Amino acid sequence: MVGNSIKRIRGERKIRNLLRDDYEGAVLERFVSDLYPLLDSVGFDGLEEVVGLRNQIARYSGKTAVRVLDESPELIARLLTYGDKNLVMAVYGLCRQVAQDTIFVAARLLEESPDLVDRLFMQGDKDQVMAVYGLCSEVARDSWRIAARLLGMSPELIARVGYENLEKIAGLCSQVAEDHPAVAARLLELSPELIAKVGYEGFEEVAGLARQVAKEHRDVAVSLIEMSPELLDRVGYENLEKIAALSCRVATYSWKTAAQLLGTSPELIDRVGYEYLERVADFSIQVAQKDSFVAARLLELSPELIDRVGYECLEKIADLSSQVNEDDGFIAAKLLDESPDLIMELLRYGDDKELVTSVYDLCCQIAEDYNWRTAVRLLTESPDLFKRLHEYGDKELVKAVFGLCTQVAEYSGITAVSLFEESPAIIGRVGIDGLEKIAAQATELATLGEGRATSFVRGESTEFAAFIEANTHGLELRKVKPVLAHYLNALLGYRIELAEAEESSTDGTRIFLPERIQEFKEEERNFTLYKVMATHEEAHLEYGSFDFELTKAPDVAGMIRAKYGYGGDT
Amino acid sequence: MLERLDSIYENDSFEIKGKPFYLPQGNEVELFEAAHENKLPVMLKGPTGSGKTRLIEYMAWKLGRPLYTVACHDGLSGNDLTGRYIIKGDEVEWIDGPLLMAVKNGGIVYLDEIVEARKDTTVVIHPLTDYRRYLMVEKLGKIFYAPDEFMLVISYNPGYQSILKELKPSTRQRFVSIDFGWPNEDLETQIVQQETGIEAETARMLVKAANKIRNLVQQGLEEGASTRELVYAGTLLKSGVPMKEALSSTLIEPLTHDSDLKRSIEEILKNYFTM
Repeated sequence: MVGNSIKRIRGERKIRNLLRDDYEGAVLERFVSDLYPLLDSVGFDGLEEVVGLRNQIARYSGKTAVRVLDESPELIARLLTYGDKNLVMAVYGLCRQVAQDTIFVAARLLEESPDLVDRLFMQGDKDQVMAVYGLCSEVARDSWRIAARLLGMSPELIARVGYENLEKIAGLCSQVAEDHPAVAARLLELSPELIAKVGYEGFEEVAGLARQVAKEHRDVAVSLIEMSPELLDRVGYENLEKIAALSCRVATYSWKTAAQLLGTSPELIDRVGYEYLERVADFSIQVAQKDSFVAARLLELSPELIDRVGYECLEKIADLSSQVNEDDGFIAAKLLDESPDLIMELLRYGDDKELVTSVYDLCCQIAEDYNWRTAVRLLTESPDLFKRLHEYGDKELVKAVFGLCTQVAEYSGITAVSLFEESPAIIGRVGIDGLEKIAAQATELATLGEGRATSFVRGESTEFAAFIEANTHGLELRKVKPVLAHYLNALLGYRIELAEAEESSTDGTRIFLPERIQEFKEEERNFTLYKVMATHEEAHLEYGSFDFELTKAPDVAGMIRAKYGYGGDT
Repeated sequence: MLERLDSIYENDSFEIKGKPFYLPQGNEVELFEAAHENKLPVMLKGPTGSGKTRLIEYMAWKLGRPLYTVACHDGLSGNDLTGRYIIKGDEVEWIDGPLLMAVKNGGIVYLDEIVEARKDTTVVIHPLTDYRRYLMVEKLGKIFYAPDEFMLVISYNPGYQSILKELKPSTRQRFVSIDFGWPNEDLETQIVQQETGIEAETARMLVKAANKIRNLVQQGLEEGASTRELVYAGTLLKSGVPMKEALSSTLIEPLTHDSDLKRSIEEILKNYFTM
């Protein structure tokens, strides 16, 4: 009994000596009392580890340090259910290694250690658990991050790949972590999936590739690792190498674009093959030199766009975006964002990828020769123009019209734009034959002066007026308005205004007639139709179709009631 | 060889021998008779071709008086109305003017479109329009008093006169005014049919078309299609002139030179006729 007391006194004195620099009084005594039982279970060297960890933590957080001391007895008790003092030493030893760089991660590791050990025990025995901690301790010499992550992932990794491979992974990641800790961390996280796909050898190759890429750009290397499971699945390792090289080239200008290229590459290779992927990368580099965001967006959209309109059109889109981007990145981005929907609309009325490519081609030419604003305006107007042209024919007409505009563009781009914009109205008046003549005339005028040609096409010149007069199909209301106005005045006995509308009607103060009638070839017959429409509407007014007399309402109600039967109090 | 000029002035040349066809629009006949009875001058107002001259002829026949009609023009002076000296061979002879003849013979003198004549004609006729009822002939140095049967009638179309050619209120208010408009549809149809001999339906269609054309007065047309023109149209149709030519020459061309108006009138006519 005396021996026990002396032993206790000596033991408590040792503990007190460890803690006296930081604690005193009742607090010190409490700690001494709480920690004393650990002398038996882990020995004084074990206690030294506990207090050593506490001391490291206390440099940054006294509160956390206190918590370590408070929780250690129970924690150690739990650990001892799995192993012995060596396990406790290994746990605290690792935590102390990590605490050299980060106390909070160290504290967390300590806190989680019982659960972790429990999970490790499901995969192996005590020796394996010790081996894991030993491994992590070695890794921690190079990188506490990798070590901490490795430890956290170790149960799962062992379950998936076995302890031997865990060792290999740890070794590989440690090597990578020497230069690129972030890359190593990602590599570690994806290691189970990679190894499952390509085996450890494949994983080694990916790690090597990522390490190379990381020399040039870390973020691309991280993206590469993240994409590698899918990439390997879809394109194989050889293509993965190529893609990695391509991404490095792109990353010279923009890592975001390079990352986007990686993300898009499987789909692109599926759709167009590696050769086109290279070409896509080339023009994305052009764009990225000015704006990486726009370049990334272009890449993101490229699989869908290639699907819809082919590579050639995508090149034009990239070219146009690039030109716009030189001045306004926001508009360039918007242009790209809206391109899928716009192309859908163009295909709806044009139904031809080549035609869509031609539209973009012309816009690129306009942007280059004049200004991008005119080009963008033309592009955004195109679906509506196609739709309007469709009212006069089918997609062949649309193609024919655009073909004419493309021909005119060889002489004057701005005249071609004007011709395209005016084409629905012109065809409505003079047909496609008339449009061809106008295009021919515009081409000739363009050799004399672009302004003159553009004025002609826009209908701002006397030449155009004369041409239209000679070639207009159908009869226009403005031409016969004076005659019809007098005619209606005579029938009604008072003046009434004539106005244009889609269909004939009247509102009581005006008579509306169509802007043009071209039901017949002969002008006289079209005039007769105008006269019939006008007379019909006039008759409504003359004979009081819309007159309402309140005094007659009861009579009308009575007639309705008599005809249809009594309907309640209504 | 010149004819004796006085032969045209023989009285019975101015008498209305047969009963002229005239359908009253309202009570203009009774009003005219009352004015004549009371020795009051009459002013006939209305558009051209509305029946003014036909009324005068009818009333002259009804009242049994000779009718002296003067178509006034801008060259017509007071001397033209009263008379002039002419040279016949070596002699100078006085010739009575139509106004003096009417005064002398108790006839009815009708000055058609008086505002077209020179202003001195107004001076000449003034004494005949009030209680004095005399005509002063300065060249003869005489005053001729009009008998009870004498009547002065003028016509006047206020529709398109310029300000310069307006009748002064002091002149207008010397007359009893009978206003002429277009007859109603039934009456006008009867007139056209009677005058031309065409079918009643055709006459009615002409009148209907004319009423529509008349809506264009003051909206481009100076005057609408007159009853006279309708009679002309009916006459031409009766004599076999094709529809288009008959209607164009009477109801389109005389009304306007404006191409749009002409086209409009043509379209109105097409509503009633096959042209």
